[in-house]
Amino acid sequence: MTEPHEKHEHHDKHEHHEHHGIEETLRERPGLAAILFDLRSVIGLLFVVYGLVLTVLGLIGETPEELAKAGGLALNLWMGLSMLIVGIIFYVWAFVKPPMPPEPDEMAQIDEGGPMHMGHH
Amino acid sequence: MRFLAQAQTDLRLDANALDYLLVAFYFVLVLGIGLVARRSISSSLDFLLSGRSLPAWVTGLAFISANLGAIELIGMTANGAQYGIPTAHYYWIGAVPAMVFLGIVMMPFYYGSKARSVPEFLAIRFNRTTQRVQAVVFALASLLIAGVNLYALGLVLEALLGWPQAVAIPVAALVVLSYTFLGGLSAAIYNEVLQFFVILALLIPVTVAGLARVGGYSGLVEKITAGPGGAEQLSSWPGTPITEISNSFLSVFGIVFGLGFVLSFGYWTTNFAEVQRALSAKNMNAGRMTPIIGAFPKTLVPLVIVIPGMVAAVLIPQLVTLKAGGATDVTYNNTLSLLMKEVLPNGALGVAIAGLLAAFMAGMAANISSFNTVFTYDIWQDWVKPGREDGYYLKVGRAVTVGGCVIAIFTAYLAGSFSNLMDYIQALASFFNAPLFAIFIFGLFYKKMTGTSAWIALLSGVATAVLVDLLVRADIINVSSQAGSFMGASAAFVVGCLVAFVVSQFTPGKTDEELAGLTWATSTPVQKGRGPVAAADAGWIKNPVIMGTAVLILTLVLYIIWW
Repeated sequence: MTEPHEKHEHHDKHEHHEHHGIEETLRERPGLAAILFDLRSVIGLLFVVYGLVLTVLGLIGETPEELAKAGGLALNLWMGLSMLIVGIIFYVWAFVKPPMPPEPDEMAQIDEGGPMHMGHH
Repeated sequence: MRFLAQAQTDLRLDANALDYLLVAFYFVLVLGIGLVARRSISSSLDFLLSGRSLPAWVTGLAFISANLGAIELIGMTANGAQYGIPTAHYYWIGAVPAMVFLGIVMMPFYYGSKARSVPEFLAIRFNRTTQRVQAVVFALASLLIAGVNLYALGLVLEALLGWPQAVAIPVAALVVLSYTFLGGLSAAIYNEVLQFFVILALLIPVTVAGLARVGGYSGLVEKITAGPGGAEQLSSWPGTPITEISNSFLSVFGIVFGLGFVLSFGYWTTNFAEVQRALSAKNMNAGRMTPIIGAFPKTLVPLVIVIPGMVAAVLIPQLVTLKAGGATDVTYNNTLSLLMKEVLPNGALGVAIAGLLAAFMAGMAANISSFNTVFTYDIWQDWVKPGREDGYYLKVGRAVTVGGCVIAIFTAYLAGSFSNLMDYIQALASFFNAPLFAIFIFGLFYKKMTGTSAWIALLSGVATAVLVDLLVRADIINVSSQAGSFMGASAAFVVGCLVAFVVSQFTPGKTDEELAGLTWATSTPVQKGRGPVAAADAGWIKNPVIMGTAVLILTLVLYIIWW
């Protein structure tokens, strides 16, 4: 949903925080681990595994009773294929828009609102 | 009840080894999220508020998922079976407008105040006493409601898988505990997003397969029209089936003001288990977008909750008998599990069971993680033991998670002592949400409202709701328990506002300077949505007002389709 603007934001921050050399590099190349442990990859993993299992079940063939249960629909096959597609979409999303470490200015915001915050009141 | 019936209905699902494997895989992933999230936790803010770093789509889906718990799934499919389409009012008027209001009007005040919890916001707007009163009330409510979720889970595991409750309840508590303990709020929120998709992987196939069995939507319409429910169960207005008010005008009035205003706004705008998800968003705009992004799925979810309920009511013989007023050993609460058993083949069934278990954990994890935050920050750090280093509060946060889960096991048995779970939940909502909503909304628009008046109003509101509940239970006020909770909530709201107004006349308030950014009259242009917009948040897709309007229009379209 947020795609069209993320690139833009990313670009802005580049110009803004040129002195943060290390963070910049991190943001240029998020490691493979960061991508694989991203929430989107986890959802992708669950759906791809579920999708594969159900698709195989559906392909092996469902018994007539099982088909009758879902009103003649090959439910496992359809559900398996749909989940497989959804899972792949999440993986593609995670790789195309890799996770970024928090922005430096956002860290500053967190500090302000941090645990000592109430002390100022 | 089941034991009295002549031919006992077998509620056990025919899960096979493969189904269990699919369920097990889900649990491995859930615990894995906890472990991974643990690596990124270095402060109490990380643990309790996710370091305010999550993107809006994550917090938005978690916002919905925290509410899409098991009680919701089981309760709303049951309502769908019993009442039909009018059940969608709980979503369309009973949630969406309040969620949009939270995003557009309330979030700027919450997020802008940098409060870490709803009670902390009360401390900033009013005073410490109000914060403490609300923190204690909220902590109590969270544990009671976590217990309801846990008890409901125990019931379902017992019915579906044959686990005894004495085993099911502690096991479920242990799973929620492990991932919340390891990963804090991030793990809870990440799991909620995962749960959201798994719950859909339960609901969509049940709906599709169910509709295929009854001859599509037109087949469903035919059967409902011909059945005991009749055509009024196919259109949303005037909603007589759910209000039980025969006068059309009064029925509509009850839905719009009772459900749509007091109950809905009270729940969605002040319930910290929900608001916390928006507070953990990465910036103000993401915070405002959180409930609005959540509102889109909320609008569509009834299509896969209410419709399968209606299908079940014409497809499952026991439910057909029940609806026709005959004697049977099932209740509407069995709707979802009966339908799963009826239409899902093995494989799809395993995914569905994972979804159902996910739903239970979503509700309880939301209660536990918000209890955590409020106890650690508002009761421990700001009151009992202030001024320690942050690592200390991180430890307290973890310890409180353990304590909360253990107490929830006991409140689960307490919940089990009530004969009707929904009545119990409704009563709790009238006690805790309505009075808080009163001081909130009144304090937002009436800047002279004072700190002293706030906590007195809060306590008077709670007392009023409890009193109404007692009078209804004792049959002194002779209405149904559903109507009783609604009366209790309304009375608590009115009493709260009145007390706040009267006490404010005699107690000192805050100056405009102290209230900067905390009330409508003293808010900044940015809070009213008229300030400059950051470049990263430009564009209609990140504009809360445009997206909020869009979701209201979507809701209106759905209302027109099912008028």
